[in-house]
Amino acid sequence: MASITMNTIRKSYGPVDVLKNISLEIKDGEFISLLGSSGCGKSTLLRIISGLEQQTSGTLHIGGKDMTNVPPKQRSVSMVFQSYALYPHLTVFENMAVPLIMRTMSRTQRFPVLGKYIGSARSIRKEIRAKVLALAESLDIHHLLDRNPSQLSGGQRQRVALGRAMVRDPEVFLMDEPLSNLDTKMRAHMRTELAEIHQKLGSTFVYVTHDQEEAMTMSDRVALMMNGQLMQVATPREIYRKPVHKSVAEFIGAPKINILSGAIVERGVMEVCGVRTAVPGELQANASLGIRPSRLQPAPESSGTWQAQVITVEDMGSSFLLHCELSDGTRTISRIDSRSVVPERGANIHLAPQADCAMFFDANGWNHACHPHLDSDTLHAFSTTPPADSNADHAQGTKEYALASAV
Amino acid sequence: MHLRPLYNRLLPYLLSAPALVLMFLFLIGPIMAVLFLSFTDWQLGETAFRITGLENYLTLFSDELFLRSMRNTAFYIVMTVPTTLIFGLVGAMLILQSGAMRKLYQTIYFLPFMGTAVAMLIVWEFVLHPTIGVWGMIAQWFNLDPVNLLRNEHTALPILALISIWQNVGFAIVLFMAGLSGIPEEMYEAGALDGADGVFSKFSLITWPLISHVTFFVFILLTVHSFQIFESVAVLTKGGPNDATEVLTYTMYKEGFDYFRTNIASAITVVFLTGVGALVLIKAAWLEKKVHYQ
Ligand SMILES: Nc1ncnc2c1ncn2[C@@H]1O[C@H](COP(=O)(O)OP(=O)(O)O)[C@@H](O)[C@H]1O
Ligand SMILES: [Mg+2]
Repeated sequence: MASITMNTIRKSYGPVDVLKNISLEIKDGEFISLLGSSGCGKSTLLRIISGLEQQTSGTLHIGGKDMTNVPPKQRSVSMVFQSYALYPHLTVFENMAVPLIMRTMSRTQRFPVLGKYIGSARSIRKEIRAKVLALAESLDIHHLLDRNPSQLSGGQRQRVALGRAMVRDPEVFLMDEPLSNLDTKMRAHMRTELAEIHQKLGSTFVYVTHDQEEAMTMSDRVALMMNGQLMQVATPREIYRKPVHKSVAEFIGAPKINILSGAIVERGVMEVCGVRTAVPGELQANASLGIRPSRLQPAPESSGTWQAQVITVEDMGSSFLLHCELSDGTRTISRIDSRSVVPERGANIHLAPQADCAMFFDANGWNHACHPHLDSDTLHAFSTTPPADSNADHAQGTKEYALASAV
Repeated sequence: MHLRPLYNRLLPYLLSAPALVLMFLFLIGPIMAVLFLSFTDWQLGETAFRITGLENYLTLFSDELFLRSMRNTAFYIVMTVPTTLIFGLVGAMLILQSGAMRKLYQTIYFLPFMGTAVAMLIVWEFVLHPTIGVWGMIAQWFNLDPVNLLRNEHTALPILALISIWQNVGFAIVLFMAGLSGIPEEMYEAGALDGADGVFSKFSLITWPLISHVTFFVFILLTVHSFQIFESVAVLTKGGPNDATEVLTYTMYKEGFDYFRTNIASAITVVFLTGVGALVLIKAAWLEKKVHYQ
């Protein structure tokens, strides 16, 4: 059992606060992604879990045990580095054997040459050999065991790094952008493979990435980080459909969500670019409306449509991206099916938002549907808990999000 | 109309000619001359000479003094190189961990290497002087007999080795520091997770293997350098006492410029150059292999 519990973790380098008040609970066996743009503190958080870095304050428990002052090797965690960090002077076999050798053999048994003549060392080495061979077989790298890392392709190195991480059966796998050095095809392949490995091992995976596609496709839950804070922790489905904040909505989903600023003309009515929509009554001034590109489609003119001019049309194969400009100058993107009629560049058309898919954000950017009972002044950070059952109907809108104290 | 192609063909030779001429004048020429002279009986000032074949070499290898100077040189190398290597590596690792003081230490240790050899040696002569030197004072404190360490058969060569270590440790430190900073931090982090977080295991799993190319380079450089020991012998001991510090280059110098036996000096030079050449070849071959391997 290795759940991970982080409680109000902070990390600062001198005057710079890299992590501000992170509280997160990761269930045993869960695949969670730490998603965020570069520099937001993902790696730092991962390194704190691994023990390579100590938090400035706050607590970390792995498998219920307090990890303060526990060195990395005594935590049951393995890490796959972005650069793989394979030992360049050792063969693939030796690379994979290192974690076992360092853990199971004494210093004298490890001693070069002489160690071979210690009886117990021989039997331990035999066990290690069997274990590495079996693992190499399952990772399909058994034919590479005698090579040096410099003689391997990126994908092969990746597998060896995985093998080295897996060989001692850790309870937690930490991965720091492990696929970012691979080409697109290999990346897609390894994504599937990692998901399979996770299923097979059943251990806890903490996966750092800046690529939302990776995070969304592989994880049970996505923890979205911004500026050293957790913005939202939720299932991929929920974080896409119910982003707690405008910035989350803008980060998740490609192409980016359309955000249109509106004016509250009377209680419960917002006017966006000349079109009036009913909105939750609590919304105050400076609210905005968010609509995904797939939910903003060309339509015949009516009272609920925006007049727009087509700026460019991008052919994506299975769909088209329509870049338009509304009458007030706002730019929008629509994703339309490739089988539908595609407007010409420069054409004047009308765009209709699918009203039930619109999101409304208040003046501070918070999504009204997620916490209508809170007003933005009293928002404060509180801890997040994993869903009781990851198959539960997320449309119910569980309260599994983190709210940051300041925006 | 054939001029242009001809010019094009000659151009590379024209351009490299000055370098080739200089190289011939100052490097290849003298080496050829020395090699030739070592097979003759020519002595400085004489007008005629005879080809004597291997006679000079036979003389050398049955000459007690020459054999002594070979042994001394070898002994000197054995005393200096490993010690400098170890102090250099340990020093570099300590300096890299010293953070803020890093630059200062680096400068202090590198100074002896940058200083003028002869000036440094004169300072050493003073330091080691049995009556007016630092050594004399120390000996007095501890009530020791302040022997003249440079005039003692048993201590003279080790003292020269000590001076060489003092001079070269800084050089080794700087090279090792470069090598050590080239090891990616992630290597140690992977090691820490794999269970190598002690000083010993970090060193044996990561540091030592990953600086092996630097170690080898420093090793060859120091060996060549020690092989060439000359200034300290010439300034401090003149080969004495009782030939205890007679080394290859000094014997060569004496044969050539004191006794004017150019033929013998040439033969010693050839032996010397063969030694240096062998070391350089080993280094080149090893580097070649290393490049191929990466
Ligand atoms: N050792 C360090 N000293 C000072 N600042 C650091 C250090 N490590 C990371 N940082 C800073 O912390 C921030 C977060 O870094 P990191 O966790 O690596 O981000 P990410 O992995 O999300 O790209 C960055 O702004 C980075 O400059
Ligand atoms: Mg990072």
